[in-house]
Amino acid sequence: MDMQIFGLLVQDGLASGAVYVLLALALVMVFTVTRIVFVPQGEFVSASVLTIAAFQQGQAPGLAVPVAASAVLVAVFFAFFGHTLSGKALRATAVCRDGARLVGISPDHSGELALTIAAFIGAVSGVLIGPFTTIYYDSGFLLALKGFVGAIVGGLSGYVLAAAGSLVVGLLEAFSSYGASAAKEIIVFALIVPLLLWRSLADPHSQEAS
Amino acid sequence: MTLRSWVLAAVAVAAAAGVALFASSYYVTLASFVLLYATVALGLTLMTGFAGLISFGQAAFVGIGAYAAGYLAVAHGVPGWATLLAGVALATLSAAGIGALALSMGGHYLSLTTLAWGVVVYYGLGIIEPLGGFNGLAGIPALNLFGFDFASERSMFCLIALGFALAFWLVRNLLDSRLGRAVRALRAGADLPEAFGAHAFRLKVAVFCTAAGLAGMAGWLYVYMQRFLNPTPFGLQMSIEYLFMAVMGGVGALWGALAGAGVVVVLKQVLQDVLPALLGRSGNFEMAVFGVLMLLILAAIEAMALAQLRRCGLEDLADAPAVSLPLGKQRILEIARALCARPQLLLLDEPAAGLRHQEKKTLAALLKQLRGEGVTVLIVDHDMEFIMDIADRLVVMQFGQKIAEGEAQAVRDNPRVQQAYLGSAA
Repeated sequence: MDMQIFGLLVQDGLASGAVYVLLALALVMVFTVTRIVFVPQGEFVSASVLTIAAFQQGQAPGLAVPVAASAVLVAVFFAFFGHTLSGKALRATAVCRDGARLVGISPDHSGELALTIAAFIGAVSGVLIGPFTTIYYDSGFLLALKGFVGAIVGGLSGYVLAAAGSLVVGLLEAFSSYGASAAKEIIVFALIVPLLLWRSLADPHSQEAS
Repeated sequence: MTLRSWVLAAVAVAAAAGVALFASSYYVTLASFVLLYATVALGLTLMTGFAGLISFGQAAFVGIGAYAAGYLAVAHGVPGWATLLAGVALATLSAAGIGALALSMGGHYLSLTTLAWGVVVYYGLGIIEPLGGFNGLAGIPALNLFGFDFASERSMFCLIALGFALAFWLVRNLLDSRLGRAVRALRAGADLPEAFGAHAFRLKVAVFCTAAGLAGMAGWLYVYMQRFLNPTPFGLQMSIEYLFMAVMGGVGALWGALAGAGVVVVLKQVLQDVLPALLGRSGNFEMAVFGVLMLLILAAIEAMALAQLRRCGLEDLADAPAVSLPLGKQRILEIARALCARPQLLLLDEPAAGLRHQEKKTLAALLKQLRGEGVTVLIVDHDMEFIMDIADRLVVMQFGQKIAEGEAQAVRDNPRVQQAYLGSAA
């Protein structure tokens, strides 16, 4: 593997990793607010890709676009959660449902908002990933699962760690599809084993409430 | 075993014998699949319904059991009893490894880990060359156990039925045992069993391994029924369907696994037959229609439950766990549950026992309302004030003998009733 291939693989891994970052962030948000493990998250991706494909035979934007776009989205969400009333209400619900209710936040409303945002993120991810990945009608499931593998790094509750984990998933996928393309999915999903091992050793008491 | 379970068991054996002897080979195969799936769903019922654990990767354990048996039989000519041991052992061991990792983290990690595990096994089976890859593993010999040949589908059906019966008996005995009571306590969280000195983590791993072992056994039966293997029936789709069967049948009862498997298999078969005629072309419509049907069924069940709660005035508490309600509300909830079957006759045995004055009044008001809606209510009780308020007709019993019958006021004035209630001195 020379430097050029290495660079290409990193680029490819970061691009798909950026999309997994978005999915993982959406999954973490839905999980912390509603305790729902939102497996169908990926379906929004394939739905939006296929819708776009049906409308147009588009010109592929460069790989820089998805990376930049997801960075912008992450920044937008930082602002939303940090500085708007709805964003703060979502965070309050995530920390403690009962406490949020006591100060007049409806957990049901927060849940609906979280799921709507998750669907939006999914659709945007689809717009980003569509031009350079082949998406089938049933691809969404595996995409969301890869987001989950990334989210597990943050224990399903840490946004920054989830984002980092998702980038690792993307990179690992790019390199394994070069080295052992048949075993690509196996390598990515088997990553969950060392991740769990690491998390249970690092923090044996992190039992999120179920 | 109680008389009732003996009768049920006898009926089940008779039904299986009836299928084996008289049904056409189409129905024998269909019944074989129902029982095979039910064996897997049984493990999930044990996990989900009794221990509160959810696995999205059960089909992977079926696959491990099936491929272990199939590979050993084809490549090394290993006899049937030994492939059974190998299949079950491999499925159980892999579950022990996965379970030990995921269960130490608690919460949702088991669901996610089993999902990932399902993907790994599915793609793994597809790329391992000696297992035939995605093309499949063919040429599996017929099962021969101790000189008896299980080549025909009828003999395989008998074996599968035996396997299900064995699994059912095993899980039932487990749940009735001392260990089983600890397993049941897991559902409320790890704190409860641990407060009684049971090791929650070990119990969870054991339950997960048991379910995987059952799946492995089902895989072994599958190999010798189909005599051909490819990875498709062991993918995530199937895992979710197994979970579905367990949930559909009602995860609180073991028979539910059989009922759920039966409904899912038969419904899909019917859809496969009916849909092409209905839509005018063939295609993979049955999964889409199946999914929509399931959503409708679940929505209908919820709507029905909500309607009965509304009827009983418990609408505000619809989301509260039943155990958190005060006794009076729980009693009314029990009545709401009975009403879900849309009864014409409601039998209540001392419904007011242990209730406070105000709760009794609420209950009486509900019973009067139900009477107004046309439900006949039969109450057995000795609380005179409660009964007199609501009953149209009374029958008074003493030592198993009827001593009075008639209108409420007339019965109250009856001297024999007064003597029975208040004693002869009064």
